[in-house]
Amino acid sequence: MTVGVAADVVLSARGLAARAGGRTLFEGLDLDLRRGSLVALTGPNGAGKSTLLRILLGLAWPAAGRVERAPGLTVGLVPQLDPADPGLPFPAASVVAQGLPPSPAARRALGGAASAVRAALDRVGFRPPPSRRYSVLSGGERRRVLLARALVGAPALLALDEPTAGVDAAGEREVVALVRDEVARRGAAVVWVCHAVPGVEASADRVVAVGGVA
Amino acid sequence: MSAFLERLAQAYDLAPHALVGGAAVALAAGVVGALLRWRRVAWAGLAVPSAGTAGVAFALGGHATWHALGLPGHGPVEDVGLWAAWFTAAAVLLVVPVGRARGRDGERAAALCFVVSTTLAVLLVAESPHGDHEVASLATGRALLFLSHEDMLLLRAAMPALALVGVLLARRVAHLSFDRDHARAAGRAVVSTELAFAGLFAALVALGVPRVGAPFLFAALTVPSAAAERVAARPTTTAAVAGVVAALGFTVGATASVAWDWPFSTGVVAGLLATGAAVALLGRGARALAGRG
Repeated sequence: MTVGVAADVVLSARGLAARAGGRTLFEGLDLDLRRGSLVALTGPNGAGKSTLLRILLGLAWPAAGRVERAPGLTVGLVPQLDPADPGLPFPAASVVAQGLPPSPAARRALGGAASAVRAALDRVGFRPPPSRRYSVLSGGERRRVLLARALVGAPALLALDEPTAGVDAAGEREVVALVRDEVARRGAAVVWVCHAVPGVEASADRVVAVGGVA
Repeated sequence: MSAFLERLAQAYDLAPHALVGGAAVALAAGVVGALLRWRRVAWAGLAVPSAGTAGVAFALGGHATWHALGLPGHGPVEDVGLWAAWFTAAAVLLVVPVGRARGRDGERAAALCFVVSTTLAVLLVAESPHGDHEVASLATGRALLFLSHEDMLLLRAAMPALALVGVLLARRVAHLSFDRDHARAAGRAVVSTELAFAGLFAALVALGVPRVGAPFLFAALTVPSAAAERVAARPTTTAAVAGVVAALGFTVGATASVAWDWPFSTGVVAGLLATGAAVALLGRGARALAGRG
């Protein structure tokens, strides 16, 4: 679905509705994600914020409505839940490298895979060696690795589902500043699912209260 | 030592085929085993080769069973490769998707596949005039010593190719095993990667089981990949190391079977276990040294 969106719009949703367990989470929801803008999705637990994000990314089907994405849209995702199977033996650097574009030319444009991964880990303030296995990292360190994975490919859209969960207060401020920088400097579109993160709602171009008034 | 050399000389006519064919299968199985572990379907490494063995038994005993049951017509054709492939494909379609979608159900599907396959193999072989000999040859690894020229050509061409495909798939399979949603959101070809993985596994078992037997294949799928994770970290490197460890373990085991006159399967499984343990200890030692440094 890649039709009829304005030049600065990377993703456009119209009339979205979602249902779960026989109840309506939201309906009639319209949303445009523009380059260089931050949209915050807020609401209580179970309101459907993560469901909305999954629908926007094409990971779940809406009960009604449609989503249009810009052609060739690149996405960096930080999921709500830790995706790792704890037994998988991959080092942090390999997890971050999952966010790199597959084509060698695109990787070269980022300065090479290894240096791009190192730079992304540095940006998110990841202190342990990149060779440390993801499975042995703390919760906060894992969130930083997942954020680095979302940033490393310089995607047009950053989809962040509670990216600061488990991160300490100082780390949370760093993440907010980092995402603001992505919006301002690189012109990324950001959709951020959050409960009440200081600085996010204040700097958002639009706050969408899911399950309430949009 | 001289007795060993004497036995080696006696086995020389048979050994080159067995060594080259077995090492080729081990190489591919080691690589595919790494992917199986990441997909959390390692138990399919036992269930699916068992289904392949049931396919072999069906080819050998199906015709006799057909007539013993009084069924009309000529019954199934005696084509070991064909039936091993069909049974393997059915098992892969049953076990791998269920395992990925619902972990516990996958274990039950694998258990069901193993029990049904093993029972079927025993019943079919009982009706076959020569099936018990063939299936016993596969179980003990004796079949590997009698690989035909055509088998050798097939294994030498197909197994390195399967190993290469597995190494090339490693990064993609690792990505979707770790975080399927991220792989989909990032626009990776998730479905085609899963199909390629299932096809790779099915091809390995369908080609390997009728020639080397299920015990060898199961050991080569599971042990080297577990050992490789102790010495390598990146997905592509881990898969490649698992293949090398499997080929090395097979060679050690085949040599041991000649040296101590063990059944070939026993030697190969012991060789894979010993080599896997040595590699894992090496990895642990290297990490301890790096930690101190």
